[in-house]
Order: sequence, then C-alpha cells, then structure tokens
Amino acid sequence: MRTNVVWAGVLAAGVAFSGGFFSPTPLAHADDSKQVESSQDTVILRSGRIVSGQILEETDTEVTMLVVMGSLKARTTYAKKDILEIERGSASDAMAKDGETMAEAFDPAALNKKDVEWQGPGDSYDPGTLRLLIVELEETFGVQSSESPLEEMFEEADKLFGDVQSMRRPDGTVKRVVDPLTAEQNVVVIKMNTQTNPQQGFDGMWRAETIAPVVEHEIVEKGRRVVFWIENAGGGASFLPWVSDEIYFMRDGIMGGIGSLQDFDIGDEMVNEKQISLRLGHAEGFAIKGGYGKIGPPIIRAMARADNWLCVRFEGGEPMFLEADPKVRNEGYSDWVVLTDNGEGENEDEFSFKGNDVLNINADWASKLGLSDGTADDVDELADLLGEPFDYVYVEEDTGAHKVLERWAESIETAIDMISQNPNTPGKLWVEYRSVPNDFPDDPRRAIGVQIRTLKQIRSVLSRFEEVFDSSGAQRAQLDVMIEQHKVELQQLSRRGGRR
Amino acid sequence: MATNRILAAFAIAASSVLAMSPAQALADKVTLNDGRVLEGEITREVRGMVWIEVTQGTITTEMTIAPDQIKSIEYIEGDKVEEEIEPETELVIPPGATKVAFITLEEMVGPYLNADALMRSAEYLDELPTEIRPDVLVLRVNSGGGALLEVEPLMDTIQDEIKPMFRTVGWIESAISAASLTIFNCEEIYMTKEGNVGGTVAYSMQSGGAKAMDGEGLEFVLEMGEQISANGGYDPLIMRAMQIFTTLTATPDGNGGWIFFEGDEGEVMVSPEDRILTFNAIDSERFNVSLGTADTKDELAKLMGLTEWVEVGQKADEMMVEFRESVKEGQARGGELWSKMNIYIEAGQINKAKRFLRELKSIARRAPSLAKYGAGPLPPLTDDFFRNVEQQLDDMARQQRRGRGG
Repeated sequence: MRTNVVWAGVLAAGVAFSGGFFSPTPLAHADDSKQVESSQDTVILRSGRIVSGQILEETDTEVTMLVVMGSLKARTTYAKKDILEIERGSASDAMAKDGETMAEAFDPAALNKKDVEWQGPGDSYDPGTLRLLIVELEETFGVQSSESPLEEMFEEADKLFGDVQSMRRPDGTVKRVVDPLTAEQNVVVIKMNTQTNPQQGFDGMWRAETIAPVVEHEIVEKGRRVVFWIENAGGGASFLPWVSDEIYFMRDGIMGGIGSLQDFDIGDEMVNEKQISLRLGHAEGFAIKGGYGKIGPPIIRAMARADNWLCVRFEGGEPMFLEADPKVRNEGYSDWVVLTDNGEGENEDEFSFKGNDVLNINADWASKLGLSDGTADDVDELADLLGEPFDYVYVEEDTGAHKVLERWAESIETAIDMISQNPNTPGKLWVEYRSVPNDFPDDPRRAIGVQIRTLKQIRSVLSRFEEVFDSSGAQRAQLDVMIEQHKVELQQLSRRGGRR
Repeated sequence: MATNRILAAFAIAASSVLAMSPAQALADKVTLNDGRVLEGEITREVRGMVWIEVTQGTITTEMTIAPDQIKSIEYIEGDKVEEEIEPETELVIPPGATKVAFITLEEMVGPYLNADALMRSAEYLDELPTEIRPDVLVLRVNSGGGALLEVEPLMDTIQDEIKPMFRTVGWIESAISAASLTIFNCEEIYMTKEGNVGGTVAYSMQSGGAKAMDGEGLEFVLEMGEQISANGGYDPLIMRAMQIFTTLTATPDGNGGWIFFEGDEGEVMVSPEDRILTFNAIDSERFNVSLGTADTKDELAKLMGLTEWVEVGQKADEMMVEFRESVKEGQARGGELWSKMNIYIEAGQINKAKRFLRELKSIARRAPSLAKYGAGPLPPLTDDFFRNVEQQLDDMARQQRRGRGG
C-alpha cells in the first residue's frame, strides 16, 4: 500500500508542528536537530536496515514514520511484516500524551512548494523512497531541447541522485552505471510538451534520431530509469518516447502530428514510395528498439500516412491489428475498431487534424494499445503508477538539471536573435554586418575590420550550437570564405592607402 | 553454453611496461579538497563515496573517500587505456576462441562506403599474423545509400575477395538502397533492433525532380539485384520488391523457410503492389533475411554460435574511420578551399592561391574516393584535375612576372 504524499522539504514558516522539528530560522533548526537526536524512534527492518525518526501512525499492518535525513524529513510507511523490531523514543510518548497525531500536524497541503529542496548526494533516503527528477522538454524539439543539454541534464541527474558507480570492465575500461540497488527508485521523468518545427513534418524524425541516442545510452548503458510523461509530443518529438519502455500520458496527452508521408513528392511515384519506405524503416526501428516490437510498427505506420488502414481488436486483452479494410477481408466491422481508414473518397476527413485518416494517439488509446503504462495528470498520480509500494519525493525545478535545460533554451533564443537569416526578422549580427559600411563611410578599413569581427561572432555562435544550426559545417565554411574575401579587400585597401 | 567474449587477455611484453606498476599505468585520479591527489583504481562509487585502490611500492590499500572531501575525479576512459596498452602488449588468444574483426561501413555509398577503402582494411586483416588473423569479419552497416556506380565494385570486393578470406557477416543498423545491395552479398545477415534494410529504387535527380531508373538502366540494376541475391543466397523476389513496385507474398515452406511469389499466390502479404519494401528487424528475421537481432557484439557472437570469441584487428576499422573523416573533411571544405583559392587568384596572389590548392590536394590524398566522386561542388579530384589547375596557376604566375618585368 502506498502512503500519502511525501515532500522532501522544509515546512513553510509558521506551520504549526507539535514535535517542534521545523523552524524558519537556521539556529533554531540546529537546536531542534538535537531534540530529534534525543527523542527519535528506531525501526529495525528485516533487511538489516535501521531507520530513525518519529513514528506518526501505527496500524495492525503498517508503521508510518517521519524519517529524518540530514536537514530533510520524509514520511515513510513500512509494512509490519518487514519490521523486525521497533524501539520507541521519547517523542512518540510525548506525542501520545499530547493527544494529537503527528499525521494531523504534518499536512502535505500546508507545504510551500517553492521551499521544496532536494539537496542531492549528501541526503540519505530510505531505499524504498521513490525519487523523481522531473524535467520538461518544451517549445521546439531539437532547438530549445537538444542532445547537448540533455547529456548535461543526465550528468546533473547523476549528481543529484548520487547513485552512479564506476565499474571497470575486464578489459580495463571504465563504465559508469547506476547502482542496481537504487535503480528502480531514482527516476528521471521527461515530461514532453514539445514538437519539432511543423514545416519538417515527418522528417522531424531525423532530429529525433540524433537526440535519441543520449536517452538510449542512459537507459541501456548506464541503467538509468528514464520514463516519458506525455502532454504533447508532436512531429519528430513523437518518436523520442518510444526509446523507453515506460511511457505515461496525461489525460489530455497526445502523441502524433506526423501523418503526412502520403504527401511526400519529389516528382516520381516510385521514388516517393522508396523515400516513404526507408523513413518508415527508421521510424519502426525506434519502436522495436524501445521494446514495442509487437505494437509499434503498425501504430507508427498508421500515424505516418493517411492511406493506411489500422484496425484493432482485443484477444485475451492483447491488441490484434489488421492493416486493411475489414470489409474487403470479408470480416465485417463488428469485431474491429477502425483506428484509421485509408482517407480516400468517403473516408476522407473534412479536417485533417480531426477524424481518423491518421492516428494521433491519445491517452485512452495509448493505454488500451499497451503503449502507455498509465495516465496521470499530476505527480501524485504519476508516482502511484511508477512505484506502488513506495513513498516519493520529487523535484521539478531549480536543480542543476533544470538549469542546464533552461540555460540552453535561453541561449538558443539569444542565438536566434543574433544570427537568424529570416529576411523578416534578421539577426542583430547580420543587421550589424550589413550596416557597417554605412556606419563608417570614411573609414573603409575599419568597416571591413568590424565586418570580419562580426562574421567571426556569427561563426562562433554557429559552432556553439552546431547541432541545431550547422551540423554539416556548411554555413561556417561559407562564412570562412566571406572572411577570407574581406581579408583580401583589407590587403588591397592597404596597398591603395585606405581608399576604396 | 554461454557465450564468452574473451576480454583483453593481455600479456605484458615490453620491459618498459613491466617496470611500471599497474596503478601508475592505469591511474584514476581523485583530487581532494586539501590538494592531495590520489592515483589508483576506483573500484566503486556509491552516492558520491569513492573507493580507490592506491598502490605504493608493493602495498595496495583501498581508501574510502567521502563526497565532501572530493574536489574532482579524473577517470581513465576506455579508449585511452587501450591506446596505452596496445602498442606495448600482445593479445593472448585462448585455444579454440574465434577471432572476430569488425569493420564499420557508414554514410554515403561511393565516397564513404567505398570498395577500395574496404579492400584496404580487409587486406590489412588478411596480412595479420596467423595467431591474430580474424576467422570472422563482421561488416557493420549504417548507410542511407548512395552511388549505384559503387555497387558493382563493392559486390566484387565482398564476393570475390573478402568472402574467400573470412567468414563474412553483415550486421545492419541501416542499409538503404545501394547499401542494401552491398550487404545482400553476405549469406549471414543480422540486424540491430532499430535495423532497416531495403528501399532500393534506383533513381536520378533531374531538372523536373526525381526520376526512377527505367529502360536498359533498370534492367541492369534488376539483374544486379538478382546476382547479389544469388551471392547471398536470398530469394531474388525480395530484392525485386525493394527495387520496383511489385506484389510480394510468401507461404511457409514447412521447414522454417518461405516460398516467395511475385503476385497474390502466397498466404502472407510481404509487400503490396503500390509500396516499396523496407524490412525492419522483426520482419527481416521473420522472412529469413536476417538470422537474428543483436544490439551488442556479445549478443551478435551468441547468435553467430560463437561460444568463445575475441576481437582482433581493430586497426582495420580505425583505417576505415580515418578514411571517412578525410572524405568528410573534403566534402565539407572542398568548396570552401576552392572559393578561397579563387579569391586570391582574383586578387592576383597566385602563391596564396596555391596554398589552398595544396590543402585540397592533401585532403584528396587521404581520401582517394574523392578522385571518383568529387568533393562537395567540385568535380572528381583526380591527379589530372590537380595537374590541370596547377598548370593554370603556374601560367598565371608566369604572366604576372612577365607583366611586372614589362
């Protein structure tokens, strides 16, 4: 049985608490800690682990404790069958005398969320405590979220959890792996509220292919438990969650927006089909690699092109798929649910974003088809799904992991402001580059010097964010040519005594 | 029986290495807040705590360091360790262990996935001393296709040169179009979980867009597909369904295999008439193109039936990787170097212009495939091409000298 919400944090100032553990002032806190030392209860578990704290509630089957871990407290419930012995301290006696249960005083709703603080490796948590690091991917997938910040985010997650060990392989190489004892409890939750640029359509998948290995490495190589929580995963972003075998949806969650492959047209029908076919080969690979071999490929095909039928019926609770019109197969519609039709003739949807020409997966169908492991709108519900017997603590802001993602997103925005080549909203550096000759009409040498400097700045921004702006290096090669051209102009000006 | 990869059973051969303690040779470094640096082997890390074995003379002590004492940790990473060991040591192969080499074939068929480059790596492996010469060569493919022109040389290289040398295995992450034709020469194919193979329609880009090959050209590539399928022992109808619109169906043969049909006769639809076939890992295994699915070398070895194996000849793949990097440099910088050369020609600075041409020539030497396929916007970088450009630059320089002299 799961206990109620547990917060790893300090109480908001002014919250009444009969045990007197919490105080808004550090000095008082230090004093209180001493009080804790002298009054704590001890539970000795059959596993050999000894847990100290304050017993809040006790029933025939369970003991609920406020466990003290450094400067943090967490409410934790143990099954009595797991307990070898309980040693009661003075606080419990005092509590009993007061006639007020600690549980009543320890009201999670009274906690100020902003005060929630997870201090990282120094903290010691009960092994049964589920620890969730919740990060959100927002805005444009592949731009505001990208492989570099994700890598750094996972490094920060390692520090936060403090659960990574170095393992030396027999060949002497070092591998960093998550401590298997805590691998289930320490979870990175990637909340998806993002999509690739809609202009990319299905081909946003190529961006997902460069980002996915970062997550795959964490799951496969390092053994990190990474789960996806879908609010909106659109375009190329809809492929990323498939790399994890744990996906959860919010009730309004949606995954899709890639149903445009049938419109692929580079001038020849057979070449179009080749291009579609190879793309589907890659896309289906995401699903198979993530462990969705049975359901993934037909679902992805139905998500990707409007002319694909996908019907489903359930046998023994398992989805069985038919990628054809049941009527043509003389099976009739009675047994089958048509998820997508072929979108042709009378089957064509009036609005492409509604109807059933392509499959955009919602929470209900994600769950029925076995893609999603459950539906949760808040952390409490999610924690329920992630670890039934556990208490949990979580952080969803202000850690190094969050800051890495935020910094990247902010820097990218700044970079776009600086180097955009959109004619309607040109970047500041390009505006500056073009205006320089007018700024220094009487000093062409200086003007060229400033132009070279500006081009180098643009180049530097491209290098910093090459995975987003210039993965092939083509733009930088072009800038190098422009810089060289200006250098020659400078030399020629020098020869002419500075005159144009 | 469990498959065991024999990992680095190294015998220290060189006396210079014998003189070093293992801790010195392979030291992780933990720098403490008080400035001390502990060098040794980190054996464990839990919640920021670090256990490190430190060797002083003949005594090895395990020390436990609390997180708040640690300023930084420097690990000896895998590649670095191997780099330090390999030149000084000798690989010991236990009797009976199968020696396996891996060569990666990646990026565009033609400039990168190239028959000559593959042959150079294979020859290196073939010339290794018998005790470390591979029994098996695994070609790990990750390519979206490329130049049809290279398919025949690749077919000849694999079929006539490499297969007689080694048991040759294809391991597919992605083998699209020309890459699928390349790997179908192997009788043994395995896939990674994300693997895909197919999409083999030959086409060219013309002014009005893409144009699938037709007429005699198409007949030629279909015949080549049949030949390659025969080389690998696959039903030619599978490759055909990857190359053109055709209905492919199949019926189990009762012995774990399939009988394929071009038309509706088969029990199972493999590829409908209006689609081009690309197999994923599951379907390729189902229809016996792939013999199994493996994401790691150990998993692959198990599928290949190797009970004990050791990886050899890593240099062959290093050669291939270096080659690809040079091609990439040429593709990325070819146009840039050419433009810079022209800037200095325009400016009348011929010697500087020659500098960029020399740089381009140096890249072309390291990436011989550029002589066939060009670099970026440039034509094939052949000896003739360079001779011709050099000649022109020399002429310009002469004219300049004459002009100055006159």
